[in-house]
Amino acid sequence: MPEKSADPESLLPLTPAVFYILLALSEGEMHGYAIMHEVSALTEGKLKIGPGTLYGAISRLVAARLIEESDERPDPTLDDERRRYYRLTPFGKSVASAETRRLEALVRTARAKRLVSEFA
Amino acid sequence: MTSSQRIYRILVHFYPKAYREEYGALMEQAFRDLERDQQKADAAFGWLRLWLCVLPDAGASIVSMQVTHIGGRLMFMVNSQNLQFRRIIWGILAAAVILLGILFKTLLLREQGAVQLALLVSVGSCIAAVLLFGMMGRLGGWYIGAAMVVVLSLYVPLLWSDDPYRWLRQNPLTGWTVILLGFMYLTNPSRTAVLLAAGGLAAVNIFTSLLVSGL
Repeated sequence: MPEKSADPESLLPLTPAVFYILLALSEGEMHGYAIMHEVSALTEGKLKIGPGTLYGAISRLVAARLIEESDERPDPTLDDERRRYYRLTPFGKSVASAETRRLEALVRTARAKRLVSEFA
Repeated sequence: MTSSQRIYRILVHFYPKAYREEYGALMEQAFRDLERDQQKADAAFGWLRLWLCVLPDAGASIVSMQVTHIGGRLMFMVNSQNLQFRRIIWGILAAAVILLGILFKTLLLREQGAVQLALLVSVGSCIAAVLLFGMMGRLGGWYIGAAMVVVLSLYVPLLWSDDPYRWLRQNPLTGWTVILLGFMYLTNPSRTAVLLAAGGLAAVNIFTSLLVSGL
């Protein structure tokens, strides 16, 4: 994935794993395992990402400045201080929005072609 | 530490070093969390569900990270301003192509006696190597054309030989090393690249030819 780009469209399309990681982080900052959990919940268990895929995606997203490590730590008594928390950057939000618009356009086209019904 | 955690720690060692140093501990942490939850959900077969999820994930991501890492390093070296170093890299790549050609040719001859196919492999890998040598910097179209003439002149006569298999057996170098040295001379790569590639190829070619001869 390229370095920070002024044009979010240039990073599209996103892989499903990357898109769901961005969606998970749209709720707020999370550590790695919480992201894995959230992705599984968002997809009703259809997409389960393991630690390898997760941190591979995180390393690329950090390099592309779509997400960043959070400096704020939760209460150490509530959490393992070795965990790292990640959050969406403004650029990451705009890339996720652009991907959502792309998918919406795709669904509109599919509906226009009557591949799916309006209420499906 | 559980057995699964020990095995996962070993798997983490297969990731590129820089990546492992940055994310290895976090991956192990996520693995421990996953293991704990799988055990809670299914005490009897939680470990199996854990590995069914983790093993394909680790395998795919190790390959992906290594390919990215090696590709990145190779491109860095190739794009490096250090011309000598760039020549060594392209020389090694070309030598590797020829090496594969030799091994494949040998297997074809030894296992199937498929002389024509072996010949095709020989010529194909030689042409591919010539093109790679062309990336070394000073090799223009004229040299590539000349290289192809040399390659064909060495191998096409085999088509009309009464016993090309025997010809190949009795000529352990089979022109490979001559071609390699000739083009390295023309392209003027570093002395190290010439010695490494030529020495290695000569040794492998002699060895594989001895194998073909059944010695």
